[in-house]
Amino acid sequence: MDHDALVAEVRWLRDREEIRELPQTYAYGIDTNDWALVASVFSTDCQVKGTLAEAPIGPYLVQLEPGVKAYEATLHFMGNQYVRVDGDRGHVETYAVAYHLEAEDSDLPDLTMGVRYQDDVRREDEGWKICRRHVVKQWHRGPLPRPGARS
Amino acid sequence: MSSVIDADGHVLMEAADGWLDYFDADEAAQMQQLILGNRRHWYSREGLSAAEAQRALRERCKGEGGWDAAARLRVMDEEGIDVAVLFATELGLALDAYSPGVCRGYNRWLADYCATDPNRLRGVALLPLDDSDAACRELERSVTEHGFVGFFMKGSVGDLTCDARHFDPLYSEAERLGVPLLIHVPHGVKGVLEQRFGYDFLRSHVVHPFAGMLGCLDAIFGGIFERFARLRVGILEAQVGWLPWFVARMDEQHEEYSTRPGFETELRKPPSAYLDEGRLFLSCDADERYLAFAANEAFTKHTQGEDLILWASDYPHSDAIYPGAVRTLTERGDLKPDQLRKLLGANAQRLFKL
Repeated sequence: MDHDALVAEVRWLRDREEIRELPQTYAYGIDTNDWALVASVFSTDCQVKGTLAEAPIGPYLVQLEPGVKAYEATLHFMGNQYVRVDGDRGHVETYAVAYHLEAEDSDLPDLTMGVRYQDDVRREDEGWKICRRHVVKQWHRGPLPRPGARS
Repeated sequence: MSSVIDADGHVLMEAADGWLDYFDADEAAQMQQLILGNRRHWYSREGLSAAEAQRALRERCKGEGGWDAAARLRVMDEEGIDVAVLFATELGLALDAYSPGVCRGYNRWLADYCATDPNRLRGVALLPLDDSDAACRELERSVTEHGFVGFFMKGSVGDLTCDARHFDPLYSEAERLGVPLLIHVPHGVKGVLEQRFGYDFLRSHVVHPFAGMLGCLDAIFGGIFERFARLRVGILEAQVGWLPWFVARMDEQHEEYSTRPGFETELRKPPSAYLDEGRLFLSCDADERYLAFAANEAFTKHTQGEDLILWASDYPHSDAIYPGAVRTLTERGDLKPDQLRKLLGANAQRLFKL
């Protein structure tokens, strides 16, 4: 393999790795209540179609934060990932099982969701960012939306 | 539980049907003369009857949401606003302070307005600020009975600036109740500027940012944060583009003068260090040019502009962005997602503790 081909190959591999990290970083931020980290994976103009709402990224995060904090804990277990890279654009789809745990003394049952994060991604000055997200819900067990939440 | 928060919207009690019923006869006459008979206000013209003045006031607003709570909730749904924090209009402008009866009447009217959806419509109390005991009583009633989330002043009451000891009992009460002091333009400086410029657009170039700067000076240099370790302060409708320069200016002045005899202050640390306490917040306009500049400014190692700026609509005033205020902010393109998250809700949650 000549030098240029090797460089292109390494760049392609690095792009794939950085793109794969975006939904994983998102999950880590959600589960550790690090909202700056959550926000860091999205582009400024990102549009999100979530399981309950569709909005630009700013209002979406504002609404997501108290929704997540209503639970005692969450854990997003990220699974299969399918990545496509095309220059400065790409797409990653990530399977996830998201556990939403109520407090031990709560009357509410826990919520578990199987979702697929379908993320369009774009290379920006600060690296790869999710510029459009569609969260496809496959299934859920437990109350959705959480009782008491205003949808 | 979702919460895009409009940190500064307005109601117009004086444009509502039946608003005078909230006052006794003397107060009603006084209010009608003061508010609808004020020839210097932007909606008034000579020779208008009270009914004509009210109609003129309504026509200058962007929709009916200022006096019709159901209409406001529809606007909030359209705009993507979950919670609106509501300030007075004319009662915020006409005088520095009102009698206990007028305040009680206004707060009752506002409570009834908010009762349409008390989780989404959150009132800000009008207080008889020149009577400290009465102000404390009205604040307690406003918070415990009406569910209001703070109280406002123009930054000064007559010759008293908001750091005057006269207000200390009120600030103690606000700490006890867990609600913030909200400084909303204009300020006493407006009178000085009116003498200089008259009532025209030249004055408005400076009155809003001046009011914000004076609010910062009073809260920090005036010792409010020193004397009240838990009091939170919001400064509304003053914009924020000037803030990075002004914080630097406060630090420079403090360094230059604080050790000189005659310039002693209550400060134990540089002015900017008070921002790390997370108790000072300022509202921005969605379209102000230097918003991102202010949001990106690192005031200290721990505090950036984005940590103290709140978005506010000013709806339904004539200069508010409507429709599309939230969209204007989110589509600017120069604010990062986490900054939008803070400006649209997280910082207002910290100020108002909703």
